[in-house]
Amino acid sequence: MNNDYILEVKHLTKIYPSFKLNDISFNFKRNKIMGFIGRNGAGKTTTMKAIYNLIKIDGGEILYCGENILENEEKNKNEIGLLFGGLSFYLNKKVKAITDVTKRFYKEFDYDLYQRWISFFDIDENKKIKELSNGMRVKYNLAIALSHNAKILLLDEPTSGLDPISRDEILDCFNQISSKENVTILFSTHVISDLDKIADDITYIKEGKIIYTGDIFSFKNDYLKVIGQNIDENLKEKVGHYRKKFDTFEGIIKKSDAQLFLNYKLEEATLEDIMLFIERGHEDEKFII
Amino acid sequence: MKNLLYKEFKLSTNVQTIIFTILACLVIIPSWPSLISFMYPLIAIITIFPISSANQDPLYTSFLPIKKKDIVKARILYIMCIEIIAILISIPFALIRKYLLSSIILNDLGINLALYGIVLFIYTIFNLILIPWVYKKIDKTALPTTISTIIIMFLIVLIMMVFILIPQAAFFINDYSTLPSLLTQISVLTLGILLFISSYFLIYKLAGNNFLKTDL
Repeated sequence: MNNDYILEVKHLTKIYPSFKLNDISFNFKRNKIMGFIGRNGAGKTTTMKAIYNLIKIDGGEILYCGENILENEEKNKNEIGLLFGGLSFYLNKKVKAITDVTKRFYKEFDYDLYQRWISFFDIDENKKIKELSNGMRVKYNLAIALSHNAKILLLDEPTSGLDPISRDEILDCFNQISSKENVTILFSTHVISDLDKIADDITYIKEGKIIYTGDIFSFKNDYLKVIGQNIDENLKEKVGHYRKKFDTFEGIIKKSDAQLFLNYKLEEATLEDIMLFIERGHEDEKFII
Repeated sequence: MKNLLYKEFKLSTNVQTIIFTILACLVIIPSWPSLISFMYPLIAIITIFPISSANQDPLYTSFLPIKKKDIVKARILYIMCIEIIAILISIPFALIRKYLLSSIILNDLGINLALYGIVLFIYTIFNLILIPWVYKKIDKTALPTTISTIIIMFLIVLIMMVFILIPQAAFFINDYSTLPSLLTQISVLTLGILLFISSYFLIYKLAGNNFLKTDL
């Protein structure tokens, strides 16, 4: 057991007819925000479901505080909050009816704290779930998770479908929760810029395999964005996600190739740039029209 | 388990469940085959699964800090509660029918203790077919609910046919005046109760194992 890690995913394997989560391993550091990235169908949701025992796994194990998460499933789930963006339950029931049921299951549900979060998020408990906007539903689920003193939050696309203001509010909230409430967060999203703002660590999954897990700065430090005019054809093969607009081109290179591009403008690559480089590689821009 | 049952009654109960459960009171209608009124609570039960799926109940419940198998246990107990409630609702209406509305003994299973034993037997068969099947694929409930209802309809018709084709059996089972008849009624009722209660363990084992293998 490593005390630095609150949750350890070890050799997790899940086989579907058309997809395989292939022997993946990664760890969650305490009180950190980990971004979980990868394109649609890469295995992010499957991994989260496996962690919470929503699917039957074909191999590997999940350790929570050093012990198999299933050993003490009820106790461990009391300390884990799970939130799937875009997923809502019992749309025709009032918020307070859902809370009344949900709170009974958590040993440490703090109703006063819940009331504070509800008023902080400005949620009307007398509204039906269907009357809440997507952002409000995410906030409501978050209020529930935070009121039972969850030590880990597993958030699958919590900001999907939210406007930029709501997204920003929620990201601020994650930041505060992680630093002040000592909560570890695993956060998957397609809005990669969100992770640039708040993630400490990154786990990158591609086609059911982990291709990177570690701190975000080391990951970003391996790549650079190159901008210039008229690229040398010999260098073009080193540039990934190459795009040309008018007489200016831009692309992503590995930092190890930086000395070849000293005549061009080099910038720090964003997480999104790097993801596009990894996913699309040296594939050139495709023209549809 | 108390919390899970509370959740079932508060969130999973829908208007159809309530109405069709109450319809067990139709046993009051004189000269109407008594078993038919006990079909309605089964309709109440089969409405629970598709409505639960539409409300994402399997996921909601799985998100709660409970063992996956307990979700099945609570649902079985909830269904059995509905069946018992339907039977309890029917009793005063059955007594009104028997003592106030009709004194004719039909060539059918009338109002007697054996009727409730047979109803419990029918409910046991229904639960045994429906619940383990539903938990094989929790989001595909149409086939199990339809097939189990059809099987139970055939079973009810079969039981009714026995009493219609063998009038002596109907006369015997409806007769309260002789000790053998009364003892037979009590035996059928006792057997029904025992079957109904003991089936819980088998249903839980089968449905629980199926649900553990299910991916949500």
